[in-house]
Amino acid sequence: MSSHALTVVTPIQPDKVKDLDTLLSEIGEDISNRTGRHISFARLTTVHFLRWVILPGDNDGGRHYRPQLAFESNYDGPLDAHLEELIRVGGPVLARIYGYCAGCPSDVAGSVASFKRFLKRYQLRSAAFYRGYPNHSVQDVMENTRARRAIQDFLDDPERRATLRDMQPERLCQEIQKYLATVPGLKLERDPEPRPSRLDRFVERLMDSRPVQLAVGIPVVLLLLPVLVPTALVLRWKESRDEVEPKTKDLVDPRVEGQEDYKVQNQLTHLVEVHPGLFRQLTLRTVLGGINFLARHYYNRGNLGGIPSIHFARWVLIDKGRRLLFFSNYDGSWERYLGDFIDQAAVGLTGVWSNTRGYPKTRLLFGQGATNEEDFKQWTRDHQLYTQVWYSAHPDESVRNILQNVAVCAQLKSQLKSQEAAQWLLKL
Amino acid sequence: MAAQIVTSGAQTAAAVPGEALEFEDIQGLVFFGHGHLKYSRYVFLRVKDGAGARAWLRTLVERKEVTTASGKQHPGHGEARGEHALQVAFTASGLEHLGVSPEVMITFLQEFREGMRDRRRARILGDTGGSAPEKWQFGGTDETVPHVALVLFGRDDADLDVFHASHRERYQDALEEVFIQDADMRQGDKEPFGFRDGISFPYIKGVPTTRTSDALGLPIDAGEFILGYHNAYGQYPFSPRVPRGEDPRDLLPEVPRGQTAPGEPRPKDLGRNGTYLVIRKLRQDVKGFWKFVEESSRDPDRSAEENEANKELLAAKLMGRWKSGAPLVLCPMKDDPKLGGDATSNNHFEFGDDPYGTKCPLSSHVRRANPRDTLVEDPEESTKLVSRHLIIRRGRPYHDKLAGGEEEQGLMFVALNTNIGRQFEFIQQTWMNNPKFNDLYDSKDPIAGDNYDPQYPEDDPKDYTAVVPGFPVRQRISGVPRFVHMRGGDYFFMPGIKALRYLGAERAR
Repeated sequence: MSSHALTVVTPIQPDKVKDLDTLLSEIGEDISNRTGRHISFARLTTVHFLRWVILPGDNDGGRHYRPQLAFESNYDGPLDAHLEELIRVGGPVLARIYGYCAGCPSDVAGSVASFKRFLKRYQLRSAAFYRGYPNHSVQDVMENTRARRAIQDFLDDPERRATLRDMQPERLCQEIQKYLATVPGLKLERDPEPRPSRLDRFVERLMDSRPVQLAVGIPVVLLLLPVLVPTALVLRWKESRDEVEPKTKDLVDPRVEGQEDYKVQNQLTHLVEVHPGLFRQLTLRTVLGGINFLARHYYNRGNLGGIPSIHFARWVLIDKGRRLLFFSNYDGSWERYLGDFIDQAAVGLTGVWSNTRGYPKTRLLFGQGATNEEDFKQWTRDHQLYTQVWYSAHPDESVRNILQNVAVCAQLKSQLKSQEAAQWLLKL
Repeated sequence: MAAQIVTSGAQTAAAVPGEALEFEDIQGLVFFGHGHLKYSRYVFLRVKDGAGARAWLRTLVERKEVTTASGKQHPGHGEARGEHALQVAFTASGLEHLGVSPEVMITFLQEFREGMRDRRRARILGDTGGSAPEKWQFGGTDETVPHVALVLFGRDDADLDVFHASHRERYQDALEEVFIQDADMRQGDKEPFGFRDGISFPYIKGVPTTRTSDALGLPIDAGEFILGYHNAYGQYPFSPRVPRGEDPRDLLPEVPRGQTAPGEPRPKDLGRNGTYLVIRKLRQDVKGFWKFVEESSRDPDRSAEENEANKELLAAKLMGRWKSGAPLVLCPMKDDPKLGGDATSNNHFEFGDDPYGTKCPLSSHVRRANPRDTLVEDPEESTKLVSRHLIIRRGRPYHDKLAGGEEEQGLMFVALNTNIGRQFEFIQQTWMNNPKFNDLYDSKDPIAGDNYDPQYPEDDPKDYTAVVPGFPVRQRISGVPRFVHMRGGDYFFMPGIKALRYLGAERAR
C-alpha cells in the first residue's frame, strides 16, 4: 500500500484567528489526548504524520493575504477512507476547528459527505512530494517495530544469554525464528517489495551512469539551446535585481524554536512569497516538477539527494501560486537538517527557493544561494511558522530505523546460511 | 589538554591569499593549551562598576598582559614558554554591563546572546534533570551568570595564588568574583575516567604548529575557529559589528569587503581575531562508570583475570580507545600502550574498514566525537562534512575537595569555535546525544551522553542502551546511566586585542 499527501488550505474567519490559535495550541500540547477533550490521534490507522498550521494574514509585506488554516497529512490507501476515518475519530473537535473557517458546513458529524466535500473543495495538489518509504504503511512500520522488539527481548533475556553465546549464526537465527513463531499475533510474512517500473529503472540508469547521462543530456541540451540561452540571460538580469533580505534584528519567533527537539523527529513549516511575474512562476514550477519526478522515480528509497533523514516533505503553491508552502517531517536537529540541505542538496533547494523573496544571492537559478551557509539558515528561520498541531504515528523511529526494520523483517521466514545469517545478525 | 605542537621553522602561510592570520591580535588560547603551565584557574567575575571594569580592561591591554599568539609565541616558532598566561572573555550580559549598545549586541550569535542556561539550549545540550541550569554552581540563573571569565595559568598552586592575588587587587573594586574553579594537569594527560585525552586536534590552515598525526590531516580553514577569516564554506562567519559612529577613535578594523551593500558605510568588525569560547564544568562519576563497566562485563563462569580483561575491553569498547589511548580500530583485541603513547601514530586511523563497528562500536565515544571517514558513504565527502563540525578543545581535569574528605572529579571543558550552533552544539546534539546516530536505535554516547538520569521525571532506563557488536550477535546493555553531569558554564566571546581595547575604551554609557 503506498502513501499519499493531502493538503487542505481553508480561509479562516478574520475575527476567529485568535480563537482558532488557542484551540489548536491546546490540541498540539495534548497530542496524546490525555485530557480526553481533544483528538485521539493514535486511533487513526491511516496516518503517518499530520499537522495544522495557521498561516497568518498579511505576513508578507507588499501584498495582502487573508489568514488561512493549512492541514497536511501523509496517509495510506484511498483518500475517501482516510477522510472518513479522520472525521470518525476527530468528529466534534474537527467541527470546532473548521467552525472557525469560512464556509464550513455547520454539522460535520451529522454529514460526513458534506464535510468531505468541504475539505476536498480546498484541497491543493503538491507541486513536489517526497516519501522516505513510499511502500510501507503505518501498519507495516508498527508491525516491524514489534518484531524487532520481540527479537531484542529474546536475545537480551539474561536466562538465555549464556546458551546463545556460543551458538553458530545459522543456529542462532533458527532459534530466533522459532521463538518469534510463539509470539502471539506477530506476523512473520511480509509482502515482497514492489519491483521498480521500467521508467524507474531508466531514471536510475540515467542518474547513476555518466555515459548514459552524456548520451541523453547532450542532445537534449542542444535541442533546448534556443530556449536555454535566453532563459539564462533573463535569469541573470533578474537575479542581479533580487534584493537580499536584511538580517532580521529580532530573535526568531521563540515559539518556533521552542517546539523543537523534544523527540527524535522534528517538523518544519515554511512559507515564502514567490517573486512576481510569469517568468519566475515558470522556472519555479519547472524545478518543482523535476524534483517531483525524481522523488517519484529515483529518490524513493529513504534518500532525497543525499539526505537520509526525511520521512515526508512537500512543496505546495498556495494563493494562486503567489506563495510557496513547504512542510517537512524529519529526523534529528534543525541544525543538522539545514546542514544536510546545504552540504548535500544545495542545488535542488536553491533551484526552488531562488524564485522566492529574500533568498541569499543566487547564480543561474541553481548556483550559490544555499551555500551561503549562515545566510541560508537565517533566511529559513525567518520564514518558518509555528506549527500548532503536529502528530507522528511512530515518533521514536528514524527513517533509517524504519528501513533497517524492513530489511530485518524481510527475512523472518528465510533459511539463512552461515554468511547470510551473520549479516542478518549484524542488523540487530 | 596539551596540544601536540609539532615545532617547525616553516613560515606561516596565509590562510587565504591576502588573508594572513594576525597573530599579535589573537588571544593565545586559540593556538596553545599552555601545556607547560600545568595549573590553571578560571575566575568568573561580575561587573559592579562599568567604568571601573573598562579601566581595568584598558590596563590589561596597555600592559600587554593578555597572552597573544605573537612575538616569541608566534605559532611558527612553537609554543610560548612564558611564566604565566592570561586570557579574558565575556558573556553577553558581561558585554552589556561594559556598555555595549543593543545595536551591537544583536549582531552576536543568537546562541551566545541567549546563553547556555536558556531552556532550549539546555535541551539541545542535554542539560536536564540533575544537570539542569537551576542546579548549576554558576551560570544557571540570572544571579550567578558570570560577566567575565579571566583564565590564569601558572606553574604550580602557590605561583597561581600569587598571580591571581596580583590581579585581584586591581579588579576587586570594579568586579566581584562569583565563582572560581581550578583545573590542572598534574596527572599528565589522563582524564578522570583514566583514559589518555587531548589526542585529537584540528589542523588549522596556515598554522603549521597545529599539524598533528591525524590520519586525515585535512587543514581546516581558520575561520572555523577565528572570526574574520574564511570558514569551511569559504565564507566569513557572522561576526559582531559596530556602526562607524560608535567607534569614534577608530580602534577597530573595517568589516571585510563585500560584507555590506555597496554605498553603505562599512561598519567596524568587533569580532575579527576573536572567537566564541564554550566553558562547561563537567563532573565525571568515576566510581559509577567503573561499577557499571564491571557489572556489565562480569561473568560468574570465568576467572578473575578473564573478568578483569573483559572489563578493560568493555570500557575500551565504550570509549573507542584503550586507556593508553591506543585506538580500537588499530588494536581491537588488546591494549597496545606503546601505540597509545605514540603521538605520531595514536591518531592515525579511520573507520572505513570497520563499517559494522565490530572493532570499534558505532556508538562509541570516539566515533561520535569525530566520525572521520564514515559520516556518509563516500569517505572523502565524509571527511569534508566532518570538517564543518570541529572544535578546538582546551579542557583540563579538576579535583574539588569536598567536605568529609571526598573528592569531586571532572573536566573543565573548554572549546573554541566561531559558530556555536554548527560546531559545539551540533557535536553535542547530533553526534553525542543523538540515539539515532550511525543508524542506531536508542544509544547515546555511552561516556559523555545524557543517558539515564533518575532525576529526570520522564526517563525510562530501557530507552538507554549501549550496543557492542560481537559474535554471534551483539551485546546490548540497557539502562546505561549518565556518567557526565553538568555543573555550570556559559558561552563567552573571547575578543582580539583591538576589540579588547575597544571594549575597555571610555564611553558615556
